Order: sequence, then structure tokens, then C-alpha cells
Amino acid sequence: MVSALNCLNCGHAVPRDYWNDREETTCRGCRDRVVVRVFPAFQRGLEAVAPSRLEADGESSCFYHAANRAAIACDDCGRFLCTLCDLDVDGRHLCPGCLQRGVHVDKAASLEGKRTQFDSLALHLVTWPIITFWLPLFTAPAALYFIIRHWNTPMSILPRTRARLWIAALLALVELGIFATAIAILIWYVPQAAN
Amino acid sequence: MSTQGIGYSRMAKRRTPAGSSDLWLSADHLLLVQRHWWTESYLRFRLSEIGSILIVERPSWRGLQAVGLAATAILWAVAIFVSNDLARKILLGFPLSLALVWQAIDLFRGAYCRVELATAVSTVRLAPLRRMRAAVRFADRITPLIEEAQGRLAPELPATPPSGEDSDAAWTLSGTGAAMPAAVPPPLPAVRRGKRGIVVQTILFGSTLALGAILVGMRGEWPSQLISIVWMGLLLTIILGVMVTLTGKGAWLRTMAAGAAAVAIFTGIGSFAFFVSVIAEGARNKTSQAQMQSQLRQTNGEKPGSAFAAIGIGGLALTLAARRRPDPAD
Repeated sequence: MVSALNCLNCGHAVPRDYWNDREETTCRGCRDRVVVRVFPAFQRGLEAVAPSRLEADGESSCFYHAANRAAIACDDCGRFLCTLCDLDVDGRHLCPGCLQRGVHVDKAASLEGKRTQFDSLALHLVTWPIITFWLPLFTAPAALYFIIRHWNTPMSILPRTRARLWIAALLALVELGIFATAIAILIWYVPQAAN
Repeated sequence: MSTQGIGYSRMAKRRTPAGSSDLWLSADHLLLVQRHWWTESYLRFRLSEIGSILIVERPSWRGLQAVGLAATAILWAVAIFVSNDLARKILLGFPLSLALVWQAIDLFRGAYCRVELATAVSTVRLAPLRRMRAAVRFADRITPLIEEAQGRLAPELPATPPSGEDSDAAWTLSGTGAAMPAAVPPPLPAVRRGKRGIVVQTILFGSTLALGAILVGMRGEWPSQLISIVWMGLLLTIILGVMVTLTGKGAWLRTMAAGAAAVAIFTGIGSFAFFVSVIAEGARNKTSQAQMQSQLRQTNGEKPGSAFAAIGIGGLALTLAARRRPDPAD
């Protein structure tokens, strides 16, 4: 946690009387306009999660840190946890082990850091290769595979329509149709014309 | 901090050729979404854990916007009013009109800025917020929500700062949370705008004005080699301006470099379009190569020379204004 705020242009410290100032303020170093909003979490820093040590023999200790006083029990497995091990996920208090299981097994949505958007991938597969003329022969079937395979897969945690999937499917079918027509011409029409 | 079943409202968006980045607000957190080709990555910031939001204007972009618009306007006026050929007017005027409209919209949307959001463990730049106006609007919108989640920071400033050379470092605050950490690093020294920057700026803008005037004065009587030397001098001036700006500090120098870059870009585009139009006209009228070269020599100094002279005058006026303005660091 930073303990002082510095201007992003010149590095000059932003005076504390500028913090949360509703009036227009300028940096004292570079005279550029600066707006600063500071909240109590800035002052708390990491102190809020620092665990307290065991002081008496009868006190419960953290499952993962024997020297730390237990503050809460895991909502999933019931193990005692110190404030360092207490992980708040969707309002539930989980230990690191349960969280790990949640990431890899349950796929907790709020822990996801990345998603592959197969609709965009399919759309890329049917558009960019067109400039090579021949590559869609391979990429269009691949795009169709992704479209069918991931038709019901949620592509994003945000609202998203299936418009890309529809467009990609249409383009893939058109490209395959063009290739099929070209192959048919090569097989039937060209030999006849040669004769 | 759940994500499914909670409505998100978009607060800002930014599109780039390779992807996009959006900022979404939920009931209890802020979501930064970054898309790159076909992957989407998420960064979540709980409202109860956001420590600070810092918004700083970017003056160099402000200069680029203003000077770019001025340069485009000059080139547009030259293209439309100076030339008598309709084809050349269309060929030059249409792309310059588009550039002019785009730059006017860009200027109207306000100054650029940088926004950083800090939590206890990380500091992240919010790329979707690029405009000062939008960033301030965002801050005004999210501040009550964060204060609702955390409480309000209640500064209790003493009437006079405690003793010490730097009063900024000596202020103390007490809020709803724990006390301010005792070891606050002293602020960095203020960046002073040196006189050298002003002198260099005067020389550079003066050179631009002089070279522009020379180009205007060359109406075909001067040999093409001399015109080439002047063009090279102009190019060197611009390169020198960029170099001085990169090594020096201060908003005015950054503004000047941005202006020089804009001039270089638009002059390049304008010159290219001009030469293309002359060559196209020559091909259409079956003009001989010698006549075409003569035409190029007669006209290539006048129009961009006017633009450079105007920019030189503007730059000198800005420099004089900067010299008269008292330096806050002094």
C-alpha cells in the first residue's frame, strides 16, 4: 500500500489538503490538473488483516498458523482460521484449501480471472484468413467445430449475445459453400471443357 | 463479491484495434475487463478495499490536440482555397476535412488524463478512463458508493502545519480507520521549469518561422537543391524539438514536442497527397516531366511554408506567454 500519493506526471507529492478536494486543484510540481479521492482503506493498509498472536493456552489457533489466534471458522470445512487465512468469497469465509478447490473444481465465477471467448475466436477464424484465399478451407471447418462445441458455453461473465456465433456460422457456411462450388467446377466442368 | 446474478452497469469503455477494456460497476465491486483478441481477463476491486483514486491530466496530449487541429485547419484552408484545380481540391480536401472533423471532436471531448486506482496490495491503471471529464464524472459517481462501503475519511487538519521545512509531509490525518503510518516518505522535490527550455523553445519556434518564411519566398526562382536544404533544416528542427522534449522536463516543452510531431505527421500526409495530385494532374494533362518538376518547384514551398510560418508565430506567442507567466516553483 502506498503511504503517499504522487503526481503521475512529475512524481511530486500531492499535498494532503488536496485529498477529496471538490475544487479544481493543480499539481505543485507540473501545474497539471489533479483530482484525488482517498478513502479509509488507504489509511488502513495491510494492518486490517494482520493476525493477532496467541496469548493464552486455552485460545484456539489457526489451522495453518499455529502461533496465530483463530478468528473465524471456514464455512466449507470448518477449520479454524486466522485473519490472514480467512478469504471472503461471495460473502462466505473460506480457507485457502477450500478456495483452491473452488477454483479448480467448482469454478467459482467470482474467482475467474480469464475466459476464452470462443465466439470471437470463431469469428476471427472465418474473417482474417480470407485474405489468403485458400486458408478458409481449413479454418472454416475449425470455426464450425468451435461454434457447435461451445454453443451453450458462457463466453463472458458479462451480458453477451450469440450474434458473433451466428455471424461466424453464416460466414463459415458461405466459405465452405464457395469452396464446394469451386471443387465441383474443377471436377465436372473443367474436364468437360477440355474435351 | 459475487458476479453471477448481479447486474453490472458499464462506467467506461475503450476500444483499440487489438481489443478493448471496459469498466463495470456492480453492487459491491468494480470490474475491469480487458479483452485481447479472443480472451477476456478480469480484475475486481471491492468497493470496501479501494484506497485511492488518482486522476492526473496529460498536458502533452492537450497540446497535441490543439496544435494538430490548427495544423490540419491550415492545411485544409490551403488545399481548398489556394488550389484552382477541382480534382486536387477533392483529393486533398476530403481526407483533410475528415481529419479536421475528427480532431475537432477529439478536442471537444476534452483533455486526456491518467487514472490510477490503489488498493492495499496493488495499484492499477484504469485504461478505459482516458478523458479528464469522464474520469472526474466516474470519481464523482463512485465516491459515494465507496464511502457507503467504507465510511468517510474525516480529515482533522491542525490549524497550522507542524514545524518542519516541508509542511506537506508533516500534516496528519485521522479517519475512521487506523492511524496514518508513522513513516511517511518525504515528497519528491518539485520539478522546476528551467529557463533553458524557454530559450531552446524560442530558438526552435523562431527557426520554424524563418524556414516557413523562406519556403514562402521560394516561388520557383530558387534552385531545387536549396529548397531541399531548407526542407532538411525544417526536419532537423522538428527532430531537435522532439529530442529536447524527451530529455527535458516541463509541460511547455512537451506541448511543443507534441506540436512538432503533429506538424511532421500532417505535413507528411499533406505533402504526399499534394505530390500525388500533381503527378495525377500531370498524367491527365500529359504534361512533360520537365514541366511537372517546374510546377512542383514553383508551388511546393508556398503552401507548407505558410503553415510552418503560422505555427512558428503561434509557438513564439506561446513561448512569450510562458516566459511572462510566473513559475510556481520559483
